[in-house]
Amino acid sequence: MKDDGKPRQPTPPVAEPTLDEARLRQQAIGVKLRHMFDEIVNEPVPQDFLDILRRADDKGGAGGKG
Amino acid sequence: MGLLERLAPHLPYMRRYARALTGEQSAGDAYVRASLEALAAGERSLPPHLTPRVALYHVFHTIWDGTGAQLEARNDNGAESGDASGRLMRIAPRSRQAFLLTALEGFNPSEAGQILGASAGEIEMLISEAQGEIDAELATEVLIIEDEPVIAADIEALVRELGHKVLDVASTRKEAAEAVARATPGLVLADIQLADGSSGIDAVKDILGRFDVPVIFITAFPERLLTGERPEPTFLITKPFQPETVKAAIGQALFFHPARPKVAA
Repeated sequence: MKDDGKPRQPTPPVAEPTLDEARLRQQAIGVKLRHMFDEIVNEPVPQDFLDILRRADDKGGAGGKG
Repeated sequence: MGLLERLAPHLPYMRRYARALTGEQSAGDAYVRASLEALAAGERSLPPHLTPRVALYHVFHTIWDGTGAQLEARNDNGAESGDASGRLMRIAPRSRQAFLLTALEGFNPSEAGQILGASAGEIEMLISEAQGEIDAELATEVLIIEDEPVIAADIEALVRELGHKVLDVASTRKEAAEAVARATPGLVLADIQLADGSSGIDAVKDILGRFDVPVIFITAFPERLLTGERPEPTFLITKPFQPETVKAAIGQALFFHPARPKVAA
């Protein structure tokens, strides 16, 4: 299976994962987290959130230029 | 372009992130609302050099970091629950942010750095710290059911690298039953075709009849698990395997499986 011809290094009891490996392992959790929070993404945004932004736009460009 | 037009498409994702970060939808929404109000009042502005989505998360970060993160540090938040939400809350606030921004929200490290006001190097460090915390959170005792000694040794080594303890290596259904009679594993890694002609699927069914445990099948014969007799909950990895694939599957299986009571070492 994973015979790359290189001599095996003795493995320390708990190896520090490389950054790539940590990211791969975190992506695997992230995929399932996205699934878990699917409902939030698909439900309508609370109306008051949109009202806050609409009122700011009506007042005229507060919070940054467009 | 107005704030509504620029930010509305990103609000569903902003709420998801806030929910994951704070552990509660109502708390998450309160911080999102406070961020939008600060923008509307002109107390905060969207940094013009950032994309709207990155800028919105950045503003949220400045609001949450000054209040929510501080509150959490003082209250310890009572996050004792053994589910995935509880596990998230046990990751320290700053590494949790880096982890969620990249793994959940799909930002690259440079965007995560813009959001958190950190360098790419700091983000990498935070991602590594998050992994250390996740590994410590998930550390458990593993039963390996595998009849080929070389493969069993490879699996043992990678399980130990993750910080887990190997309870036993069983090479038959009978040995697996004996192993779980002696001690209860927190994870089972199982081959399907075992030494004496017995089946890893049957061995796992025996175990799941006694207690609930995450199971990962590692097999050269995946089709045998696709015939409808696959016990739940299970994951499937095909041999020959990449060690990092097995490690990722172990982390995923454990993170989303309800924690069992901690066993004294």
